[in-house]
Amino acid sequence: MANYLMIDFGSTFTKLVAVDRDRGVILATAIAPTTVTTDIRTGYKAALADLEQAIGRPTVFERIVACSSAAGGLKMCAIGLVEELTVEAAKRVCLGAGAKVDLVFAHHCTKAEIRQIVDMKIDIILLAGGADGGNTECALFNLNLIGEAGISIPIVYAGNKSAQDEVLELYTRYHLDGHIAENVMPKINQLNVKSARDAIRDIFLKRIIAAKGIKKIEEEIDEVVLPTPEAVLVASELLSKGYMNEPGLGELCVVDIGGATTDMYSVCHSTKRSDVILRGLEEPYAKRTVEGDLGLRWSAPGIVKALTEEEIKMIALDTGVDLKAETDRRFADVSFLPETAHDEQVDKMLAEMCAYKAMSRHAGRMEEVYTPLGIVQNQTGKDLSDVKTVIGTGGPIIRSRFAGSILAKTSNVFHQSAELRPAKPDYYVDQDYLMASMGLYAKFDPLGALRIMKQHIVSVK
Amino acid sequence: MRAKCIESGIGDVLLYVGGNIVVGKQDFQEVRERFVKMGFNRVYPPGTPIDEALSDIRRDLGE
Repeated sequence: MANYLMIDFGSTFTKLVAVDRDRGVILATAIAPTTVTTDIRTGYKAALADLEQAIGRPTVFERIVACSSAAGGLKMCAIGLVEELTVEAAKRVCLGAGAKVDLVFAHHCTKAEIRQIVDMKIDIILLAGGADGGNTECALFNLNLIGEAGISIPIVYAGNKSAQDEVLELYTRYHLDGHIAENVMPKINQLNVKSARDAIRDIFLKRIIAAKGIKKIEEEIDEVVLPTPEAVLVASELLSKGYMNEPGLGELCVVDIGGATTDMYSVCHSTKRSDVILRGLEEPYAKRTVEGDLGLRWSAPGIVKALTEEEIKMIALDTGVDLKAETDRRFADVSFLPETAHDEQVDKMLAEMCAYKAMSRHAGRMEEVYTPLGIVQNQTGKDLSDVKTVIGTGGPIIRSRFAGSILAKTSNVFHQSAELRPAKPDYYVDQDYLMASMGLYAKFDPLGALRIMKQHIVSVK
Repeated sequence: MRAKCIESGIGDVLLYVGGNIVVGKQDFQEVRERFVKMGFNRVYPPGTPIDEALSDIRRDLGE
């Protein structure tokens, strides 16, 4: 019998999922608080004890693999040249690699900006700039600044290939922990994700998890293989496309609301329409965005900041909820769990705001433009209006009685025709919190991972 | 437009545009501002004599 164990080391909880590969079923799941600040193995062992108890017998696992967003996840700084071109491309690569992009710089950096990289404890710097054969000066200037500052943070250079030789010389001159990847934007508006994403993942697995005290777990398990958001992206893509003869769910979106962030994923083409003109940088088929200011606990004050004073007053009048006081309370006690119906309602309201705002930032826009050929539709970003499946994951959605209502806020509830949100989707919930684990399990058994997700991700109204 | 030139390593190139560059009748001052924002160095309304653009080019190139 081949049993597999997948572990997701989250910022708050360590989640275990055991799969019986031969029968294609979940044996058991277990959860325990993450203990990365002391010893990550403690929380893992506690969850494992619960898991074995749930299975009812000692279990041997053929493979034990993990993903991690513990200890702050993967914190990155994206540097490029022009904001809407290489800066945006660099940002998208970081997000696709499962990182949080805590710093974004365009054009020539200043010494103060370089200092921020150290102050904010950035894990990896992604340095881009210039299409191939284009500008090299800016990236070299920025790399010199980084070198002069004596920064020891790993750097991935993924800019104009013509500068690679000089970049290597600077790596040597300044003794930098430097890496080279293909240009994130080799041609104007063309996005090239894979090479830089692979380089980031490699550094994450070799250096970052060790620096964060996560590597210790590899004494107990086989290996940590991905940052958690990337595992969710892998699962989303598999669930959308299907595998061999097993069909997927088609184009889909996934919304993951947490205490600190709201992640939004979409797996679909930019547009199916032939009558629109696509503007801006190419969009990735499997796209992730993350909103660091939208979350139900650590980032609860960010929800209020995203509203105007008038909106806050309107909410108070309509619902009787003092939004500022409620979000401050959740920020002050991040382990807060709803105890009353009122608490539950407030959490629902905050989650709805996160879902609404995160989709607003993720979805593309349409604009009508008059041209000599008549009215033309200009599209920027992805058109999600035909997406029929929206899946919710993350504690605040899974545990809520109002998951359907929260997820509904991803659609075009306020009829803003310019925003290309899912028009009439069906809503589903990852009720057993399996998506990250299935992203890991897909490495060994994609068909099994797909079938398990299809069984456990359930429809909600 | 300027952004694409910068990424392509020709950020300092002079960009000129003119003629029927918008649809319908629009206030040219607004049109000019729009194109300057895009990074064009000079913007000409329809009917501008070619000599005017040529002398601008000479001046801009320091001849």
